[in-house]
Amino acid sequence: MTTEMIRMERVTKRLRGKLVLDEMSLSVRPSDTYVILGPSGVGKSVTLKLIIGLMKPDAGRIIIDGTDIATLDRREMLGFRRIYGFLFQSSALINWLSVFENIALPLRESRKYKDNEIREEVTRCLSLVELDGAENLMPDQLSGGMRKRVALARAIVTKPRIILYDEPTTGLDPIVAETINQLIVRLQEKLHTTSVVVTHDLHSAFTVGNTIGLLEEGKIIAEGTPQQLMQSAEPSVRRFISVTRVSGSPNNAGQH
Amino acid sequence: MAANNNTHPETEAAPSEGPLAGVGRGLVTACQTAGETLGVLGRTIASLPHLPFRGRETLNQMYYYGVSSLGVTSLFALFSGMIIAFNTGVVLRDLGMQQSIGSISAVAFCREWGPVMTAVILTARVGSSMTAEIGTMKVSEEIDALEVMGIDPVQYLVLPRMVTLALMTTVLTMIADLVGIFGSGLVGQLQIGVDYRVFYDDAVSYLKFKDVISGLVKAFIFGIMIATVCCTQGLVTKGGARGVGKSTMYAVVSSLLFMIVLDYIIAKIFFG
Repeated sequence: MTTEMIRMERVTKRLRGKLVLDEMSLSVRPSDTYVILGPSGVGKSVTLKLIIGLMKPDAGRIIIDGTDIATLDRREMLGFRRIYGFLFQSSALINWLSVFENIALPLRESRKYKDNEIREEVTRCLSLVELDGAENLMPDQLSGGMRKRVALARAIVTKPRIILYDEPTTGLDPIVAETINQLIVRLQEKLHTTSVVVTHDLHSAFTVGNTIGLLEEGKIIAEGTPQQLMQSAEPSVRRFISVTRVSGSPNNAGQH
Repeated sequence: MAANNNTHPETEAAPSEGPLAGVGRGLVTACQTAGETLGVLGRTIASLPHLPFRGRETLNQMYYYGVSSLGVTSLFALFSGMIIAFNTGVVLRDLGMQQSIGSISAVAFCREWGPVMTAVILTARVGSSMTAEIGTMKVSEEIDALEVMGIDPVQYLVLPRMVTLALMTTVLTMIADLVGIFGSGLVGQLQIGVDYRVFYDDAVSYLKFKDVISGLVKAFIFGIMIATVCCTQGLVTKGGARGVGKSTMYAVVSSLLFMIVLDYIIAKIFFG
């Protein structure tokens, strides 16, 4: 077993000429929940898309469970992605499929499961996200929190070894956001997967993370446990934490 | 082919750009659009051995693409047949050759008018909705969601649509041919004074198997082309609702341009 499940080595990424990641390095141990914290627009979601191979780095290497994903061609990458589960910020449920069919989709398309096995797995995952009985609902009948939970059930149904969460609490009211945070913690305890969460929500980061990395100017500028980060004397860390505490979000800082 | 500025926002023309630079930029984006379309076509054909059979969804698509387009296609074909018969019939009557109206209508419909008219209707009705549907999926991250689940969007979304639309375009063309020829016969009998038996005999004696089969091959290829172009435009959509609108417009325009070029090439292959 490798000591690092995810390793990014000096990764650089430009989008439309703008430098988003500047020789960023990052390392995530197996079964760890690593939170990439930072304000919007600093490249958090880009980092997730690089880890899952939806984008390619301009420079640097990304090693997932010992495999340099740059060496995989398109079809190999599609197969390799079964190692991941991904919770999208927008949930990204397929609109014309019911809750059951959305969760069953990766199993059906892998063509390795019988109908009764699919039903069992979908029921198990719906139960894990506390949505028993919601199988027949359509996405447009779900609230924001329910959509996130269905998307989470879909992310875990293939028993992935890595789960990536893109802003899991964005757009949710504080009570629903806290439910999602607790769900992520409980899933982590039950499934022992390696998780990477990107968020600008300080409370969410400190609730779900074992390790937190603060992303600014294309690099992880500080890293540590939630306690270490809270006690950090690093000026940029103190600034981010104080601004976030005052405004609730670093993006709103200018509005207060 | 139509350039898709929407898919390449960084290549949009600057206000101060000269006309030559604008033309060059347009050509570059046109080549990109054609390249993307050919890329998707290649991937779709390569996925053919993995054609998924999803019974209910396939039936729904066949119904939506074919059965629900039947009314408008038939109406178009009927009136088109009547117009062809009327316009040619008046001239032929003056020349004393009105008995040839059957062969002219049948050949015009089977070779050209049936497949082209059906493809135009399906581009507007089905192709545009394919682009809008897949484009909306793209901007709402559903396409990315398929990719991260290890599902190839081309295999999952494009391949079944392409196969279904190619089949439905061919079937609708057969029906359009029959309805159109019937419309011509009707006008021939009622307005040009050609008995329907004379019309029928002339049509059957002149029409060759090659005329019919060239039209059906055209229809099948048009179906593949419409689905490929429209799905590709959906897959490369960027920029929210406005982007979906732009992609849909480019998909329709590109499909019509591709269609007319292909139409010439196929006619040349069969009758050149």
